[in-house]
Amino acid sequence: MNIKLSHKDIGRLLDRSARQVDGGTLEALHAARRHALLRQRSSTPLWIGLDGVLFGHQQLSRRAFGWLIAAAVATLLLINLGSWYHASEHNHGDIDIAILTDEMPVDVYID
Amino acid sequence: MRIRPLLLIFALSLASLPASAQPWEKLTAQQQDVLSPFANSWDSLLEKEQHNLLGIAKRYPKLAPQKQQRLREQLDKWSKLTPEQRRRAREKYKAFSKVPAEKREEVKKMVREQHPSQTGSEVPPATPSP
Repeated sequence: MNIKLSHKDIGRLLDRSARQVDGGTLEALHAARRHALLRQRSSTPLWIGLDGVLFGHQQLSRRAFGWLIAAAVATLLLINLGSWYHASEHNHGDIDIAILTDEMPVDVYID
Repeated sequence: MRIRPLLLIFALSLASLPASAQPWEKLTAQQQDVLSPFANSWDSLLEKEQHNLLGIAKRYPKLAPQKQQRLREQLDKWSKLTPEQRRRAREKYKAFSKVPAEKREEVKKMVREQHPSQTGSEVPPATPSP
């Protein structure tokens, strides 16, 4: 026998089967579903408040929040260090002042 | 792990991020006065050039009056150079600073004779600070 069932037909059959399940089994299935939902990780974006509360469904522990801030600080420090190195490499302020206040005219240093 | 000190460091790190290029209109009156030769070209300068010039404007009030005058005279010419010419001028100045003092004085004497109006003979020689 080859019966083709549509999605609606399958849904209806499943509903009917579910109605025939006894109360105990139904309750066990409900409990399993609730448990699964509780354990499910939230896929919402993480927005963190100052108290470590995620605007979503979860809350970070203070320790995890601390690590997160430490990582951000370390990243910023690295960026600052890089910028400082770059700036000091190109900082000609001292030499410019020396040239501009020297008795020799600037022209003599130009080709 | 204590969070408050970390938050403080975080805020300080943000505050210490290098300032980006700023438009001429945002400069203070003192900065605009010292850097007036760059008024027209300021916005097209590279960020590092602006940074250098702002450093000069910052240190300008601490210079002796003679040096302030000399700097103003030279800054006008300096503003007309290309970044590449300024770079080469710095290199030459550094190289010239390494020449023995006697030789340097000879060269200066020669320049004074050739360009008497352009030399700031009353300005004491300046050396780049470390």
